[in-house]
Amino acid sequence: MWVVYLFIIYSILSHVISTFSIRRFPIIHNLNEASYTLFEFLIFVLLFNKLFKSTRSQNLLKITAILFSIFWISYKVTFQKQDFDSIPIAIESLLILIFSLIYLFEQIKTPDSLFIYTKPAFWIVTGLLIYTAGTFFIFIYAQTRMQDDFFVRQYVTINTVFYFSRNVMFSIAMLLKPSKKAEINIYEEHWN
Amino acid sequence: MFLLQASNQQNVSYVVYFGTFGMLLLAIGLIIFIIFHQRKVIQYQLRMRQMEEDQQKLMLQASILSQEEERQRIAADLHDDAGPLLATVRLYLNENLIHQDTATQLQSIYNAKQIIDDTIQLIRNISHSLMPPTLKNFGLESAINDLFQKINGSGSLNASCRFHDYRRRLKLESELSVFRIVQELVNNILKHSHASFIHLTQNRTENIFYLRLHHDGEGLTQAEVEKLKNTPQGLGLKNIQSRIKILNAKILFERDPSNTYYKVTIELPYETAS
Repeated sequence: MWVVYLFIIYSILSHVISTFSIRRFPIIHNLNEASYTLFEFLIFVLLFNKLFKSTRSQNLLKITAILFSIFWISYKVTFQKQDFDSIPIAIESLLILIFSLIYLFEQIKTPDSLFIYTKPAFWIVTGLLIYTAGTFFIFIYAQTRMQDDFFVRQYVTINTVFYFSRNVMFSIAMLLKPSKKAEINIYEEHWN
Repeated sequence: MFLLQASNQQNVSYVVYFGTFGMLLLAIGLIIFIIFHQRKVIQYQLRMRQMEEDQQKLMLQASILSQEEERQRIAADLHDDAGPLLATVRLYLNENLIHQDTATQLQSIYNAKQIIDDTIQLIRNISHSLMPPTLKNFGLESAINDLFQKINGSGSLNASCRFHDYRRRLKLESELSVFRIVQELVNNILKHSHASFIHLTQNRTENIFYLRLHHDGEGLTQAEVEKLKNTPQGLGLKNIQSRIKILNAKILFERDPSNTYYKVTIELPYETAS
């Protein structure tokens, strides 16, 4: 759960820095905006590293994190001035979708709780899954269509709705304290 | 690439809305599927575990029953055979013996000695059935040879065994378990199969000890044994399965492809048994 708190704190800090530095410190503002995608992805990689059970999945995470970081750096060097990084964000969304699916399928293969929705991790992953699925297409077009007012309204609506949904699910995860009862062996749960 | 090349505002709106809706539908569908499927998997695992526990209960009951039968048999042997014999010896060696003439005394002592010899033999037999001394002193090969010789001696069928490589002995407890398994299998064959021959072969690889028992009578296949596992019948088979489980071994009941004989194969890893 501490990874989620870290993500929330980072998001808030990033937005605050972005808001207050846009006129006074444009370099910091641009750096902050530019690096948000990378740091967001690395925090999610940290989260999934905690959630994955199999070593193979964890190794895949680490390799993906390194490859994505290299890609992001080379993208930033090649396309320096971009208002919106559609391609890195699209790739990040796809990767998070894949990691979410891996987590959910691990839960099928080796379930450790009779009611999966009593686990905070389930709600965190569901929130990420729904947010990335819902905003995938809007982010793809954002780089080229931000000058269009109609598109901007669409972007704000869709992003806000799914951002809100994600945060609601994160809140549910925070409210669900992982009690000892929920973590006991599923067989004991059955016999009790 | 069509997605990135759609330039018309309306096309872009359609792609965005339908694409978003489609992705959302997929994501929600997947989550619902995961929730229900995961519960089914757990319920299935619970059912399997329940079946395993029921089976273990049956095996334990069979083991307890078997022990009780063995105790009753020993008690019956001691009470019905040893008891009266010793009581007869007591009669011969009572206080009035000193008043008898020498010839009568000698005869009484001789009779008492005969009965004591018979009693010793009886107790020896009871003891051998509990723990065959041949097994302890000379190993599994000698014990099984002894057993098969006794069966041959009865004339009921032709029993033979061949140990190809038994230089590396198993632990005494493992040898006893294997001997009991062979004894039980042979008893079942004698009781139920109407076989005319039994042949046992032993072999080994680096890590595995193999025993194979062939007979030409009526036998069981693995499918029939699996069916009996979950029923209260087949006490002897359940005892065999308990011993196999303790030894961490495998047992396979099959019919030879030529349909002329049945065979039972026991595979025992050396690492647990020696």
